[in-house]
Amino acid sequence: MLLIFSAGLLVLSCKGKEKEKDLNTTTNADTMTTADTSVITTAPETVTEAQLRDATKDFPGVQATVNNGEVTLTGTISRENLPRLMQSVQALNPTKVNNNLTIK
Amino acid sequence: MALQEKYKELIDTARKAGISNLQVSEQNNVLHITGEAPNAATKDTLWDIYNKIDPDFRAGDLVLDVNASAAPGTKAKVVTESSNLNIRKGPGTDQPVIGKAAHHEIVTVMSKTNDQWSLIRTDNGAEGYVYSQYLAPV
Repeated sequence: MLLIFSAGLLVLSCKGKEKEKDLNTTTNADTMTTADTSVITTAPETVTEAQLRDATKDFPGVQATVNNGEVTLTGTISRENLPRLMQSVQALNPTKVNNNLTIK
Repeated sequence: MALQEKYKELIDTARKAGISNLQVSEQNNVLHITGEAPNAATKDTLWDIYNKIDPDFRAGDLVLDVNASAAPGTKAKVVTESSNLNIRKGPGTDQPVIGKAAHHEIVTVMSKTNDQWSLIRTDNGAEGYVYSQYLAPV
């Protein structure tokens, strides 16, 4: 009987601690959110893989990769189609475009 | 500053051609020219000059982000090379194709989702998302 009672007390006291923990976590999360927001507003937008895939979809011989907003193009393309590809990629406003394409 | 000299003809032409929100800035040895062209012909002229100064766009020292996309609520022309333009359920090439707009068809721009995708409606009543690069103001 005493055992059950003390076990119950233990659970209760644990619950209390958990609540405290939750409160602490919430406070921390709020502080972190504030810090994160300031980072987001100052960081420049970077090109995403999905955007790059959309931009190069109509050029089957071309491979494109992005690293820190810098786009690198490899593969082959005709000289006639090159301006349209470059327009499509540069419209994403990347930091730089490395054109390593072989032009047929 | 050297880059602005190299691409002087391009910058001067952009200023004269009435590019709105024109911005010329240099970041890490790359010149960025951004703005909105009044029409597709102006955009093409700028790209012809770019290709003349830097043949085949090899130097990697310029990002020319001047688009000529149609504004929401206006009509736009489908400016694909020759094919029809896919109309998709959502803004992304991973989205299913739900219709087509014909080459050189005139469509209505409902809204712009982002720089890349616009929500359009055709005269036949088809509605969905298309790649903004293939829409030119009329």
